[in-house]
Amino acid sequence: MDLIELFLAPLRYPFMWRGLIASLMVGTLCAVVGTYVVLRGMAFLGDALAHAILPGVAVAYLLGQPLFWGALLMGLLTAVGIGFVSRRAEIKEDTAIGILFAASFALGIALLSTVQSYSVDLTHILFGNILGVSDQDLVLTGALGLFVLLVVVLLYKELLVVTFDPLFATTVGLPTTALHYTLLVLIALTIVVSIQTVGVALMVAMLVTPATTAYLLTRKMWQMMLVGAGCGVFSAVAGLYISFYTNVASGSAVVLVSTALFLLAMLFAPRRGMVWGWAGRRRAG
Amino acid sequence: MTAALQVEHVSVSYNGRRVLEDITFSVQAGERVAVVGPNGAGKSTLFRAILGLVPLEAGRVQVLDAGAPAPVGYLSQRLLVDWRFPVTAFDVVMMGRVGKLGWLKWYSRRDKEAVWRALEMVGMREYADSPISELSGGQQQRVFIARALAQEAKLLLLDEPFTGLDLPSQEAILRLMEELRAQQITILFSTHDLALALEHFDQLALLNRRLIAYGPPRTVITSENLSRAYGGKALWRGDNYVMVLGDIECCGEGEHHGPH
Amino acid sequence: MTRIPLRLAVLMALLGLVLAGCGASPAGQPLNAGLRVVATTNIIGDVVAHIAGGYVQLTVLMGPGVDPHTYTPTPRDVAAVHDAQLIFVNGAGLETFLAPLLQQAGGQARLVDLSQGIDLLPAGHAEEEAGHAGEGEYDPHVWLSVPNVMRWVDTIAEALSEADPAHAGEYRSQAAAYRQELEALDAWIRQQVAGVPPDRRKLVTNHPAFGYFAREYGFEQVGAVYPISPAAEPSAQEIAALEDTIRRLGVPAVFTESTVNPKLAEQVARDTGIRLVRLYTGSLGEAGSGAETYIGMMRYNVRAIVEALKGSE
Repeated sequence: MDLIELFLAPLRYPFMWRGLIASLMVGTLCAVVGTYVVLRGMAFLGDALAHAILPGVAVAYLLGQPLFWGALLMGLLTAVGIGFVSRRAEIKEDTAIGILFAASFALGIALLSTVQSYSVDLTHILFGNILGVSDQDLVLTGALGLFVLLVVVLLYKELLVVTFDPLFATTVGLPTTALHYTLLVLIALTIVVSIQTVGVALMVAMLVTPATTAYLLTRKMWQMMLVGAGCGVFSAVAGLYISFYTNVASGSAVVLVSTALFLLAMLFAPRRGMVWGWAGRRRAG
Repeated sequence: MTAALQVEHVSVSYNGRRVLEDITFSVQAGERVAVVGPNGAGKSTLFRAILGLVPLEAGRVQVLDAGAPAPVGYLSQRLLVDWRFPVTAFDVVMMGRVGKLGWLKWYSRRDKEAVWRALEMVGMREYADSPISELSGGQQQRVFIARALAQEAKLLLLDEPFTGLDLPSQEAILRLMEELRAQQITILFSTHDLALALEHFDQLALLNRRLIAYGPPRTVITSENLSRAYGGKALWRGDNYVMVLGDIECCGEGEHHGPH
Repeated sequence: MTRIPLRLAVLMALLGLVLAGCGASPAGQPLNAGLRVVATTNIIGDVVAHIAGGYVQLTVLMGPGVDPHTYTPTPRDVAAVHDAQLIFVNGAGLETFLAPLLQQAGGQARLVDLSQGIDLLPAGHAEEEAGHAGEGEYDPHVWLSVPNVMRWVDTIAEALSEADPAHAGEYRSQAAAYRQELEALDAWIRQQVAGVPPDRRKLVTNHPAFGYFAREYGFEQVGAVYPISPAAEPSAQEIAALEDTIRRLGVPAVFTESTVNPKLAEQVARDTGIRLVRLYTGSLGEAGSGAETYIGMMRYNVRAIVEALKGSE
């Protein structure tokens, strides 16, 4: 089978098409929002948010409602909750997040284990089920995704200032707290929309890895977002193809590809790559 | 000469502890004020109080430019900035314009011109496109000063800006500060360095929870004032130098705390 | 510096879409000749293979040892369902994953439910205890009674002939041959069972799969064993309950599904002094197990059952 055929063969199937479109959307969205996550050191928070969604999903599942709404409600609740808890000075933010994370995740598992055949759906929730994306899922993903991107564009300069120098932002009169909550909500929405592609367990990778790869290759935040989106999309699509041909779980394939891209960037990035550093030292020494 | 900054009976508490007690002083436009005191004296808190970042338990602060409230430029301590953030010098200075625009508006040509002028004034025009990670310490500080200028601030608060800067960089910034004097830009500069305060500043505020003294540096730096500020271990030797032994605790209260 | 990765990323995305747009066709076009048939379980697959011979492209969704409760279709499975022309399903509530899978895959296959024409047993209290309450009202394990499988043969042959009239003759004759083998198997089973004293014909299992076998061949399925979910680790409580039941019933052996954790079997056998015999109920065995075909599987099971129950104890 030549390369073109390899590329086109899976596209005969509508489920692959839907997976592809979902990959495109999720790859872009995660990288754009992930830029903020990376620059503000919020990876742990992102991971916690992804896991904390589980009880929402479990309740929706038990009530026979679409999982999406359960995830959305729980995600927003947790985002605001984390924002609130981290304002208490008595507990370190890091610890507070850890506690919330484990508790919600455990609650979700407990709820789901009351159902006998939970194991399949739990696998999907934890590790993604990009081939199970329905047309309604795509519409929801598209609508929410567009909304998130719109907010990022409209609030670009404010979010940039708040991310770079929150103290300065306050001194010039920006509503720093409100913007911080907005960011948390955007992250929650991104996670909810992307859960179907990579699942809860690997969500943090989609938020963090493409954006970090882009960080090594760019100098400005908007460039970081664009290149990150490119990496995210490439990883998602490549992961989809790999999982099609090798039957590996799609979520894990996507994450492995994006990590490979990151390693390449880490080694070969112009100026910041490690190979560059070694070459520099050799020339000097 | 109009007052650029008026601080009246300002008191600030933090977690139930009083960290600033009844501070009163006023600064004329264009003056250079050094704010000096041991660690935990409340220098950063004073700056934050002036900026409105902490609530005042008592008193009030007025920042004026020809009688009207004016923006304040702030350089926080260098350690607090993420130097690896993907922004160029131009981007950082441009952030100074954010307060002037409303929501949903993008930067105009006027804003861009203001940024170029600010960069020019601090001598960083050629570095506009450099990521801040590639700038030296002194260059970075100049970029942040440019940001304050882009804000059209008339009052600049510099929180220990010489931390980690080599002597040539420090001198460059001191020269810049002189140039800014011509624009009636007032500067408050917190530092540990008494010799610096003596040489380059019009007024000196000696702070340790209370304002121990305020006035021209040579009047303020007396052994009596210093021992009140630094505890019993400071020594005043002569006209040109002063010796302070150790990092002294906040007087009369034992434990060393500090919101900054 | 940044332009290269930027452009490259955009280019790749666009290229992908363009190529895809040019090359994609609305529905899967057949790549090779032969009727495209999908069977959900490997038991069905084996039976279909005997009837359809070399004339179809057969895909079996669940390989040996796969449990329908935890089965997740791989992308290839979904693709096969999309391309299929005939899909043979067990029915009677076994394939809970089927509806979403069909919706996901799309395609224009004809679904053939093999439970039609079979006298289905209700899912009794034994089913509920085993945790299959959510599955529906019937016991799906129809294949453990050979006459049911003979009914399958008829249904399959008819469906194949209708979908592929060109080979109808071959399908019918291969079906007839296989039916004869099944008849021989059935007779052999009855003969073997006759050797077990009637009062010893009790099947204690961890998973009540033997409803149809029991009804057909004169056994009693004493399914009151604490359920052990095939997906999860058995708890200490579950193990203790299993052992208590075994002692209370006084049976010489307990029969379990091949998917059960072997360590559990060893432990229970040690503790109670009776044997835990593993049978193939939900799936054919791996290569080399002796149970790689349906007939092989039934022979293996019956031998194990008869030997365990007949034996001195």
